[in-house]
Amino acid sequence: MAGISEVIQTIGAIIIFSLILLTSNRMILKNSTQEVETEAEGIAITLGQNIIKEAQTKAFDENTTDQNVPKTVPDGFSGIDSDGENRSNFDDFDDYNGYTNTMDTKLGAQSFAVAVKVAYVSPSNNYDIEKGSETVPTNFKMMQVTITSDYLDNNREIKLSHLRRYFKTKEQ
Amino acid sequence: MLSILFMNMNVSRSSSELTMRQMTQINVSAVSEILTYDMDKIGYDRFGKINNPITFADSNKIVFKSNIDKMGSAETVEWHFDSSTQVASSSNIDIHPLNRSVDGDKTEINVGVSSFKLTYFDKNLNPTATLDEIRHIKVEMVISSKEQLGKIGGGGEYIRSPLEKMYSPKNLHN
Repeated sequence: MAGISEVIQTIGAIIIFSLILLTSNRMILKNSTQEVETEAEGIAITLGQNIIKEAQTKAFDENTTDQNVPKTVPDGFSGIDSDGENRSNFDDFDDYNGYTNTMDTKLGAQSFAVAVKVAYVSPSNNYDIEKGSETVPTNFKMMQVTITSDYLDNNREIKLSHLRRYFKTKEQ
Repeated sequence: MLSILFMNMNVSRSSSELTMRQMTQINVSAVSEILTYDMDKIGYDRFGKINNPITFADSNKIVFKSNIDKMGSAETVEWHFDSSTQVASSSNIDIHPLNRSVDGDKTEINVGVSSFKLTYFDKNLNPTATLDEIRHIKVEMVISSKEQLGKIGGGGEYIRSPLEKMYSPKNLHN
């Protein structure tokens, strides 16, 4: 009887130890995932900010690239269009509309994908880009940069938005 | 008993690694905040922009004019990664001081910067070394932990957190 009791106790100890081992492995895996995700989030935000900062330096509209402000505002603005797919050709804020790219980062080649949307928005629609327009000009343009990556949890998207307001730089 | 010992060591190492990485990431974000404040204001003055504000630019040093305190006249701001000097308070020999100075008043940023590289781009995003053509500045930086994370079986590694950011100062554009 003593022999059977020892065997049962040993089996019990092995089961308890296995459970502890599984829990600790899960914890180590979770820690590692958390580390990578935190880093990936930081990189994604930086990529989005880079595009927004770059776009901020460009003219508000194709019609203001020579710094001459259209006399009629906002009718003088062009629609949301593009100066081609090459980012180096972009000369106004809405050229970034439809821009997509995959970026190389420290986490790997083409590890992050970026997609940009620009639209005219209005206060009456609470500056909602989904209710914005590419053809009906207003004094406000909203840029939304969406960053995706396999390194982000459940392939979730990180979205950064920037609202740009037109203002006169010269008296006409 | 050996399994329990190794399991304990693994859990402990994992937790230490997480803590050290968080510390390096906090340092990255702190340096990034100061960099962003300075870089975005290149060429800024209270009543207009400064013409040709960048007076020196290479891969580890940039000197520019900016009214950084928004008072009086513009200051001369310098960022310099001194890779020839080691930080005494660290066991990591790859860590060097990152110096920021405003009108010669130097602040040494010793938070574990092990790599700092500046690259300059013109308006078409092509690399340039010509000062008055610079429109964008890319900063690549790595911050490492000051102490090693021990490995089972000896040796160890330093935890590293990178930052890669492109700055587009408004006053460098027309």
